[in-house]
Amino acid sequence: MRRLGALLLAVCPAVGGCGAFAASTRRPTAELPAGAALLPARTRRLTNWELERSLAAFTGLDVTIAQELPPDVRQEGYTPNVAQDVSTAWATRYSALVQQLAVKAAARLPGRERCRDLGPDCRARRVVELGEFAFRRPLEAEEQRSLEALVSEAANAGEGFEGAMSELLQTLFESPSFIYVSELGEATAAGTRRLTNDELASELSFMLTGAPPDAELRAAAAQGALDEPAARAQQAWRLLGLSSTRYQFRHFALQWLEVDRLLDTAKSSQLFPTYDALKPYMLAETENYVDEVLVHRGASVQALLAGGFASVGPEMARFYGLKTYGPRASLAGSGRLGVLQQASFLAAHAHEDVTSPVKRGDFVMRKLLCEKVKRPAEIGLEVVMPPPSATLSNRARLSQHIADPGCASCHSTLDAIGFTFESFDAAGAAQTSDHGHAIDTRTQVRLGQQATEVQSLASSEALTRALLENPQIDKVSECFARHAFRYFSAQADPRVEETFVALRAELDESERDNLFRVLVAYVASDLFVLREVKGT
Amino acid sequence: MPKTLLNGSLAALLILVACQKTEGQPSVFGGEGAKVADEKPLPEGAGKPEALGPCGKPGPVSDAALIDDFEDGNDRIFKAFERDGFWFSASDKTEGSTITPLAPFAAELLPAAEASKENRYAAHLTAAGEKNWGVVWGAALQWTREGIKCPLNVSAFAGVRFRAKGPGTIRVSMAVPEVTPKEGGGTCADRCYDAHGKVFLLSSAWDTYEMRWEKMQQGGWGTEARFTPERVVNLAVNVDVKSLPADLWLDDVELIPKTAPAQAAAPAAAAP
Repeated sequence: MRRLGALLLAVCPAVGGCGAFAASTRRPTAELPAGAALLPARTRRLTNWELERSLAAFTGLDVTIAQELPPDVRQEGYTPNVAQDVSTAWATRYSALVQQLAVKAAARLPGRERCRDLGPDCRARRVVELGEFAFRRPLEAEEQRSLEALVSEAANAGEGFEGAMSELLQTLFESPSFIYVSELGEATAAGTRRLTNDELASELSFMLTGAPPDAELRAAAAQGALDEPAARAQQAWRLLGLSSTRYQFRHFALQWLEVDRLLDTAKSSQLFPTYDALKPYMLAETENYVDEVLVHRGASVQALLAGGFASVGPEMARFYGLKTYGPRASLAGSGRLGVLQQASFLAAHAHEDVTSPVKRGDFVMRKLLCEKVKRPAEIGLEVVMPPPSATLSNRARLSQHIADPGCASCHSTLDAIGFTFESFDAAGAAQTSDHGHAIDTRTQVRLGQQATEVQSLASSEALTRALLENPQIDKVSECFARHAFRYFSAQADPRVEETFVALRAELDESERDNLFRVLVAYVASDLFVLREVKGT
Repeated sequence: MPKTLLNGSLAALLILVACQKTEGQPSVFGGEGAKVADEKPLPEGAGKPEALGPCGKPGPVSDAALIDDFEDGNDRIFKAFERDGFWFSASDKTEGSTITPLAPFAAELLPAAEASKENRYAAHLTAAGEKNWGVVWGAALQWTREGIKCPLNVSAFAGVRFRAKGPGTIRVSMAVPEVTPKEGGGTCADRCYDAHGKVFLLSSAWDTYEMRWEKMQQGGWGTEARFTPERVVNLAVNVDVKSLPADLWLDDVELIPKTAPAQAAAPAAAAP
């Protein structure tokens, strides 16, 4: 309970509260425009997945705790954010899980034979070695003293090497310096805070890989090299080159597409008997497609929306009615084009038994056009869903509720976009009829509240093409970058987002749509390095 | 955006997307895109709904070597990434026969002279009086994801290693779905349980024993199957009636990394 109590209480309350960070020589980088909003100086609790990756990196064991912890809080749909807290339920569960892990990890500490006597030198070496890895920075003198005392106490109590190391590991795993990532920085003359090299290394690594800094990045931080924009950019490209980095970008893509919880969804077993069996393949298709596009097709929203191929095995190839399967199986003639026509997206944006043009249209508005769609409660509307019908098509049924002027203000756009997807059922399979009526995917719609042109669209393919044409393409591309920034910078402050958008606008047109180039530009900028103190 | 796209030429759009700039950009993700089999024509019948299911193809390769060291004292195997399983025991239930542990399966404290700080528990297996087929102790091995349980993929390993003490004769086996009935997570409908394995003569002292995949054979009396380490459903220790009564200890059951050298002289019997 000693550790648990410390965990609950030790949320760094203010700037400077989480301990010292190594001082380093600094050289100024290009200044941001005057008045540009910065990210706040803060500490952020790592997401469950980031903690899992941290524990795996630390112990070398296969760690699976993310699914066993209470789920992460989401902001704008994304799990990396400053709203993650340490609730009693979370702390209790986490403590129990890392207790077991500490025992296993202590038994497998490399080189433990050299240090079984737990003499003072051994204690100090172990504490520094493990503590610095866990805290991602040098230990403060007081931290080192108390951790050494803990090891001594355990050893004196007859717990032996593994018992003492288990105590030490559990304490480290439950420490705020392990669970939280610090962006508190050091004061600058301009009144802002500047991240230390150790903080920069952590920020860079968690942002791009979802895992703590590796040895090379820690070494660069120790040398103070990360003050240099070029060095940060070089490290960023190095991390992006690692195969394991794909998992972070998959996480982003799945959360952006709102399909990351697909395996938790259910469909009517009478209407969609193969859905449960196919769900893992649907998810795998999206993951593989994202990999293929980001590696080989340029990391752009255009490529994600309109790759023209599927990355599928025989199961999904047959589900889609394709002639081939493989990493780039042609989608020609299938009515599918990219992520918006993938079964995972279509099933996640549908009800258990019937399609949801509203959910599909809502996604396009929010996530591709960055249009604010008011929820019914925000405008004082009580939602009365159109009653089920044995004879009407889903489109005809929903068209009745668009006739209500209160609903029409939003739904005339949402539903019109969503109707283009009606050629795909609630489980993502192609459908040609609905309650005996031929499917009609034709629609007329303004793509965005400021759009002046009413577009006639024949299908979701046509919708996708329209989104990738002028004038929407710039908006869609910027919207995608905004969402990426929310995920990778773990915040959703619109003011800071504008600073990022301005930074992106300075890039060459050819670089602006490439997610990797935009992120590296962000890493090399002062926006990545500087923080503002709340209230100043 | 070129004017020609305004009226929606899909081909032009795809060409444009394919030509998105990746030149000059350093390679990302190790240069590996989708991990899907190379493009092939879809064979007749492939991916048919009835052939589908989360267990239709091997799960991810298990990379945790330890199956169980019994130090947690419970009936679960050592939990690792998406891996689960539990220890079980069964006998032919001859009247008057005994078997321990039966249920729940529990590890036992080692005698003080054999225990150490790091090794306090082991499985103590005793049985007597069975006259039909004998007794079996084993561990279910499963890959689980989101509650779906499938066979475990141990193809990254070369075999199984364990410590044991007898004296006695045991047959250690690993079962694939083809020899395991449906209620055990397999597909076998007839002459089941003839799993691939190897017979070991245990001495009265603790020794380490190894069973490599290529040395395993079926008993020859059941449904024929090929041993595929990509899909195993359980590990079992069998004692037949000729070798009863039995009083055995089992500990530190683990998979052998492919890089490990073969054991010099494994004390195994000639029969499979």
